[in-house]
Amino acid sequence: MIDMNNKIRVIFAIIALIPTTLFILPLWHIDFDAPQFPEGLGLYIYINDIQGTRENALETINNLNHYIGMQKIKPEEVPEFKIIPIVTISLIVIGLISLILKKRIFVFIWLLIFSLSGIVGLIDYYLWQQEFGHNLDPNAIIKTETQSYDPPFIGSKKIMNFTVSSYPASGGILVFSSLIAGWILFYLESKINSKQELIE
Amino acid sequence: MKKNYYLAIAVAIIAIVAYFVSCKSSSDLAGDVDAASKVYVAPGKYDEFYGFFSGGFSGQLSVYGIPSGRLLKVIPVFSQNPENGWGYSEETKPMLETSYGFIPWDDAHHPALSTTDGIPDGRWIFINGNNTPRVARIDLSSFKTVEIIEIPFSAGNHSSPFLTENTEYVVAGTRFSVPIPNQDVAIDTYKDNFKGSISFIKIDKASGRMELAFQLLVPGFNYDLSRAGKNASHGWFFFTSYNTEQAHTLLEVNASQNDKDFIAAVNWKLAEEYIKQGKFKEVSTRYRHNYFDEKTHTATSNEINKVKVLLPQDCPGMIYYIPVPKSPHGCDVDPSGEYIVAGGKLAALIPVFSFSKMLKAIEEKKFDKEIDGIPVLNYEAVLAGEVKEPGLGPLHTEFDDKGYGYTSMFLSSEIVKWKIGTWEVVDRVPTYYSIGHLMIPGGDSKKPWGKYVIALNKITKDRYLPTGPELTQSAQLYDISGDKMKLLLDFPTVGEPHYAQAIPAEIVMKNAKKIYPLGENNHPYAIKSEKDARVIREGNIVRIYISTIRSHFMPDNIEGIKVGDIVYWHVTNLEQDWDIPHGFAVKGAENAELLIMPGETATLKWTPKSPGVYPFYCTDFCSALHQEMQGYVKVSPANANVVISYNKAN
Repeated sequence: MIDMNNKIRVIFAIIALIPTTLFILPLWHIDFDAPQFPEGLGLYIYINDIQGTRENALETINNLNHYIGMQKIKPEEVPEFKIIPIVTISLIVIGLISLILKKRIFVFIWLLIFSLSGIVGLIDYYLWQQEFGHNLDPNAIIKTETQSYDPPFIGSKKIMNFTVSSYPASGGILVFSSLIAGWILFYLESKINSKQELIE
Repeated sequence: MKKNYYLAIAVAIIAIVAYFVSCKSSSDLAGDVDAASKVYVAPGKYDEFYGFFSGGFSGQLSVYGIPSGRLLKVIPVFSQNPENGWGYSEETKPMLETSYGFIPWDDAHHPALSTTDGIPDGRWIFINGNNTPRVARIDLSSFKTVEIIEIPFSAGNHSSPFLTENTEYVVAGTRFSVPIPNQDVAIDTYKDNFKGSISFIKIDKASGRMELAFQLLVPGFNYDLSRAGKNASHGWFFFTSYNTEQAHTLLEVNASQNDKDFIAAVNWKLAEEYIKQGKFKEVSTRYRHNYFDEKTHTATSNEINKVKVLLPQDCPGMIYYIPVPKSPHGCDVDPSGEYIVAGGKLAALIPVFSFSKMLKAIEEKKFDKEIDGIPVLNYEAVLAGEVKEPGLGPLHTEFDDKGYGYTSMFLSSEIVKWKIGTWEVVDRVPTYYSIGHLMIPGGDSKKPWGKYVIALNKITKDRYLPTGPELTQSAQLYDISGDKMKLLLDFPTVGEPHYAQAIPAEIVMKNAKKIYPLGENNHPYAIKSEKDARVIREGNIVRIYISTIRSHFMPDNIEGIKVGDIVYWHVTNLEQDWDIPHGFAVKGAENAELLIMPGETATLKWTPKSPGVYPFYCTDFCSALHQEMQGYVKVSPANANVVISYNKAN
């Protein structure tokens, strides 16, 4: 087997480093749209935090949630926010090591771990949403028949007077696209490479 | 044949008349639609300007959107306001303290926007209290009165609170001359014992805080209105005066005898020099300085006992008198700073003085006489020109950005537009009725936004639906963007609108506060979370540290209070969301409610008179469960053996 050439390894290195942006850019965006909030209300989910889209947005959402008996969102109590940054750094390190080793199989393993981590992350996020949407205070002020307020995983949904929209945010989109690009690049590179091997 | 001929003529005449009648009505209608479209601000859209209108004898300042004339807010300044508890809450009561005690009323005349380089900067607005001489500062990020300073040795603080170009000083000139210091002399010893005072209040550049820097003790005339110089005349201040006759009774006759009264031209930069040189006398007095701290949400009132006084006799060159025909009222300086316009309310012309000619006359000593060490300049030597036959009763002048002055005519009830330089009248338009001040946005500054002029009228009569003998006060908006002034809108005002100010909305609104951050709340009785809510007895004083958040109080069941206790409800609004104030009222409270902004703490004093259970509730509809936002407090007899108890947050 021929090692990966340097130009392609540089591109992979860029892909491997893209998750560093997650320390600045949000993964996910949940927007709450209602007539009483012309100034906007929403949350950005980062790998290590949840922040309001504006000052006091998180406090405002927590206060609104008490009507339906939802637990308070306390970023400092979410264990994932301690784990995900470590996973992210590990992914970057594994990626760079696999490129230093030049062996295609290591790059494949890295992309696989990268993808699996993403899937696990999304499942975890989905479960977290379910937990928040269903585990409601039985003495809640407002009760509905379904007793669930889970926001949509992706897309928009009407919850009482709010239209709640949930979509990947800039960081999420960037990392997801880079991962796809990584797989495409890996596929193309393998094809060209196997041809070259045949020629030789 | 002949009959048909006449018939044809008759038909033709009818047709022509009908045509003109229809034309007239349709053009009138077109005019109204045109005017309406110019003042129409669509729902949800913003006005172009903030307008700040003095509330006159209501002691308030009201905020309007211009051009729509929509009332946005009434800011209590010198008066109590049951709507939000201003002057009733324990925190705000010190704001209304004076050396005469607690005075919850005044006569507020002239708002003045702070300026940087002579242009309104939208940071603060000042307004005078005329009756109990005071000057207030309102912060335009919170639209709240944050400071009030009392003026000693003054009576009728009318020529106030006008500002220098960079808001270095705000002035306060006394309309009534009085014995200084005040004493029970015979009134007919006026000429010997009565004096005027002109105060210069220094303003801190960063914080806006006021400090009475010095006073000028001047001859006992009535100092009526004033304006600071601009550009070349920056460093000077001009005050009109009347009653140079020094009459003390029936002034309407006795103070109207002299052909000319005076503008006092004050070189305040020189006055600063004299202060530095120590030429002042430090005089004992007593006045209050009240300051509202937006971090502790609490006002403090301090008594000050000294003032620095400068006497014109000791300070040559500090003051000159310019003769002005017949009891002048308004004193206005054009945007360039070269021309000073006086409104001689009984004069048949409007005199305009030249600052550069004034300097020359001073240099050449063109003095007619001297009064108490103040040289009186020669009228002709200082005069730039006269606006001839302007109308009757000229009062005040504002300016546009195209080189025109606009003068209000009280007696002939009109606005007269005239050209600076040629002094010719170019347009006039009636007002309804008896205009006092007039206002162009920035029209007193170096940068007028000359789109509208607003007439501030003294009489309303038939302009609105009648409301008994006491009719609404009124302002009128005119378009001045073209050659001809055009009436667009009448709108009612709160209290008598003496003077007003306006500023492009974007300058002010970008600084508008939405909430008070709870983390910055340094109120000594604030609580930062429900867990801190508590009730503490200190002798017969009971302090209730209570929180509000949609839609409950914590605590909301309180027992152990006794008749004879003084109860302080320290209410902290824990909300941190825009436009979520909570109100607070308890049955039998003797003053007012509280309206507490997000992140703010306010205190209501309550002295229950008889045993029982008293409900308290939120007065501002805050949420879907606002009606559930309530609580009970139990009051036991004075001799009851009870302990304080209350429910706690879980």
